[in-house]
Amino acid sequence: MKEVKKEKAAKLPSSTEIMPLKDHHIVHNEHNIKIVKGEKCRVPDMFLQNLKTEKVIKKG
Amino acid sequence: MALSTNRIVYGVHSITPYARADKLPFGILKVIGGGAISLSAEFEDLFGGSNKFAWASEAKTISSEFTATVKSMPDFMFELYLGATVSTTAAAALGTVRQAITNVKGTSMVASTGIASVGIKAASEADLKDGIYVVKAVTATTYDVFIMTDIAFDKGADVTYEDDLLKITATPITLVQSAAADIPNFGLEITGDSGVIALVTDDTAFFSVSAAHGGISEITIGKTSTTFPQHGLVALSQKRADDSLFEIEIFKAVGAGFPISLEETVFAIPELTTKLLYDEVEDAIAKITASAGA
Repeated sequence: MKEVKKEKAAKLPSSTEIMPLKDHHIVHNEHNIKIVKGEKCRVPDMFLQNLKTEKVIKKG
Repeated sequence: MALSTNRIVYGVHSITPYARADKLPFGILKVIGGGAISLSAEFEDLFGGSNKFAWASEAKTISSEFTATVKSMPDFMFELYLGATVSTTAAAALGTVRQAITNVKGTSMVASTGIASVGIKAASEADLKDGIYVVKAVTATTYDVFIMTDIAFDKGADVTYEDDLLKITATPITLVQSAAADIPNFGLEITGDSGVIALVTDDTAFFSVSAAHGGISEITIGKTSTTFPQHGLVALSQKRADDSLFEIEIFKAVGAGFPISLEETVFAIPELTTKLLYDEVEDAIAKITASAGA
């Protein structure tokens, strides 16, 4: 049982909490994340670069 | 001596164009409506004096044409009569992206900072929908997808258009660096290239897809290099009840143009027109071989 749990945990994408500067919507395979300006949320790290490009979060 | 058997010609069996260089056939036209040689002469008449009738008449030029109505459209017909180039794709049970994604407006869509490729999603091949797709950048990292026809929307998972502009994405899809994202229910996935994604809003690109198919012919018409190759033709009437055959061989023909009509509840039946030319080697334009039944 423990081994199964470890496997599941390994599959979860690492994520980061953000404070959005504007609304944004991410649709990407199983992800459908509505980001609302001023509402803290966690997003998978794979989208962080995109959110910087879209100025949803600050660069750097 | 008794009278000979009447030579009676009935129906049409086939028309076979062949290459003059080696006499090898291009193929055979069997689903045909008919073929007819027309040899019409112009006359020069000599009138004189008060006589209202000609004193003499001599044939001038003879216009020689072969017209055929055909009810099928094999590849070689497009090559011979439309000067087209035909490229074929072998049958594919899992479908084909027959045109790789290509920029249309702007250059940001297919780039190292844009889309790397469009592919068929593994295990979702049954959802593929045939058509020409257009991908449009909505923001720097998202895009919408449009498709030119709904003819295959019932293949696999049923889908519908999202709006009158033929959009198929309810919400723009996010393009992620080096990651594939599927177009839901279309059996396709679009992969981001390795650079930081930076699309230019309203830039577009297109690609085209065929779902599982038994082979594709892509026929390009109207290239600057277009030529209409000279060829020979063999046409045969239907074999009669008495086994008699009637064959027309045209030694040197050149044809150009045939209409392709897409009309409601009507089969497309183009008419081919070829000009018969004098063949120096045969010293003839055509030869009829009529064989009586035994």
